[in-house]
Amino acid sequence: MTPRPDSDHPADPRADTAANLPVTAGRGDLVVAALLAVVGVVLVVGNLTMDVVGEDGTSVLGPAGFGWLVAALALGTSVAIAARAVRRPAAERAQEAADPTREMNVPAFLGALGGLVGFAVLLQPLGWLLSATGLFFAVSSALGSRPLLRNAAVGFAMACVLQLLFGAALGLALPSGVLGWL
Amino acid sequence: MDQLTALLGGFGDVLTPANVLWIVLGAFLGTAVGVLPGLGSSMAVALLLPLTFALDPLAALIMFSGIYFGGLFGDSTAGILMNTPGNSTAIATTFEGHRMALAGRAPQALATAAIGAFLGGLVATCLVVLAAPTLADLATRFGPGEYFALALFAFVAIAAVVGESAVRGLAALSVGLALAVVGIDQSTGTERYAFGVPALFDGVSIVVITVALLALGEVLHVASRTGRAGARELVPSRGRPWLSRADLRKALPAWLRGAGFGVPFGFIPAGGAEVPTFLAYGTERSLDARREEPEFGTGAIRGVAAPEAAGNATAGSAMGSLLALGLPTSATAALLLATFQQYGLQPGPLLFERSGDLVWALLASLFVALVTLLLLNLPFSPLWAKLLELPQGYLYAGITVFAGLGVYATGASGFDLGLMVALGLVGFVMRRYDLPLAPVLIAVILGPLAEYSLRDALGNSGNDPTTLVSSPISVGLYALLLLGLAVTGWRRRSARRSRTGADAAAPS
Repeated sequence: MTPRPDSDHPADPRADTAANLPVTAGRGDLVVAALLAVVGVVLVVGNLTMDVVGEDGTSVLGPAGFGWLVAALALGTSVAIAARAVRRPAAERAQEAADPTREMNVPAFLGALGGLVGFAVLLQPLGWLLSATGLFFAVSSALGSRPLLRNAAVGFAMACVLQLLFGAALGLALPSGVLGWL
Repeated sequence: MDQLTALLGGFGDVLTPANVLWIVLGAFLGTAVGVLPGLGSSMAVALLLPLTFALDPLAALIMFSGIYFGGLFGDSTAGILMNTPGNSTAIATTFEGHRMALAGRAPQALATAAIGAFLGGLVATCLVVLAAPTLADLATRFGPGEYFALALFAFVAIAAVVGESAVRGLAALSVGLALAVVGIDQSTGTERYAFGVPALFDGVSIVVITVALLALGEVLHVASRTGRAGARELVPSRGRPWLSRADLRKALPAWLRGAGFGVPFGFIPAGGAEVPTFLAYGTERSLDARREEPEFGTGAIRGVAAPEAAGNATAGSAMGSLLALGLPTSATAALLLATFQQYGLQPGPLLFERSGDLVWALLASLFVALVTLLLLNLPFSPLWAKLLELPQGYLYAGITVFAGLGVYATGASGFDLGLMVALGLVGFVMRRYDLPLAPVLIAVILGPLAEYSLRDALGNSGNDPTTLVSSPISVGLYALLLLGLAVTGWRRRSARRSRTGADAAAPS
């Protein structure tokens, strides 16, 4: 419900022609439809390969019944959203493609995502202090924070404080990693 | 008057130095995340939930309720001073509130908002204290059929009736339900949707889901918008926050009307306080238009008072429906329900019998939290606004590190961390393409209740589907649901008709 400053502007008439419009423009909802399709297909495959053990009283549903209902809901909404995205009028799509609140800073996004993936992979081998510092560095730098050296220093300080607070004081076992060998 | 005795006992449990400290900490954190745009009380609770292993249940729950109320106190500050509401619940307040600030009445606007939030919460919490035992009594008559009706009511209400698009709400619901069915089936022991991964046999951890969707999804979304946001400008708030007698005479009835809108919405799974704040704002505006000197558009105090009271009144009665019925009606309430489950407690009618001390202490803590929040917000709103000068990069990087710590703390497993990143991406996609998050959370939390009560109801009656509509309570719930759907359909249709009518009339 957040008011978008540009939503009242009519789309640029030159962009109105469907010919100049990339096929993907204004069809971001296809990503949503794909996500829902994956959810539905995973449930269907899970149901078909399910190895039902034990007795479920006398209910007709059994362990898979509810899963079928959810799969139907996911696939149904997927089709509905995809159909709407495909049939969208060109003018509406052009307007959304030109909407500045939809622009995406891809390098920054990938930087933050890379930091998260790196943290998930490296936490056990490298240990908390180094991987948390790396995560903080990656996200703050991706968000445009400078200088880079200070980002790393602040990240290291935060990792240390959390290690002392939760590791030493509250007994949470955080992996020590390579620094543990020293 | 048993309630009053019990409540006094609750005050006795809560007013210890340690517990007061947790309330103050919760109020502090709640106000802070409320002030900061993009952060909300649900994210704060999600980040802290895995780290409460060192706390006793009461300490964790009173801190989280402080955060819940605090988020609704803080959200209007940024809206009034900068025209950027801290949360969707403060959009309605922002319209007139920012105009008051531009007219040099920022302190009065902030004071009206803080007192409104206090009064709204107070009215609702008092009603909950009076009504909760009766509600819990009603809920003891619930069997599997009634619980299924309640869960279905919550699902459809949050997905279809309240959101902007029913299809998107249902889509979000299916994502949450899919996450809820993963793991070993409770009644047969069958392995479901785990595809042989032992880490999934216990299901997808609720902490991983909430941290990833609420915190990481937001971080990735903010990253994707780096350098693309507009600049913000702070209107300074100078002077004392005293309301004149004329101001009070206008604000008081508006506060009470706002609270009246908010209370019923806490019992309906409407995803939180957004709808009642807009209803309260709309009512004040149409009342204002009939006055001799309309004030809306120039900074009307009533336009600030009513939505703020409505917002916190919703939070108060949401606590009531959570404690008495086990029904979460907003994202943050759903997380509080997850907190109860972490400690092995199931909210609902039996909670009053089994852990009465805890419930009454929690209710007493709500009053303490409201007073604390009034003291924190009434004099210091302009100071809170300084939080907006925090460097965004460090703020979000800190949230990310905290999220990683929390997920690792619950399971110490690398698999959970990978799952967290994957679900963080799902959260990002949902934000970018306007899929609502609240239905996912409600579905994850109420999904198992819906599934097993449906299976039990069918199993107990020899698969007779009419068992689902065999009691007055379930018939009443379904009737309410159909009524809601009919009203929504009619409202959407007339809205669309008036929009196309306006388009046809426009010269272009």
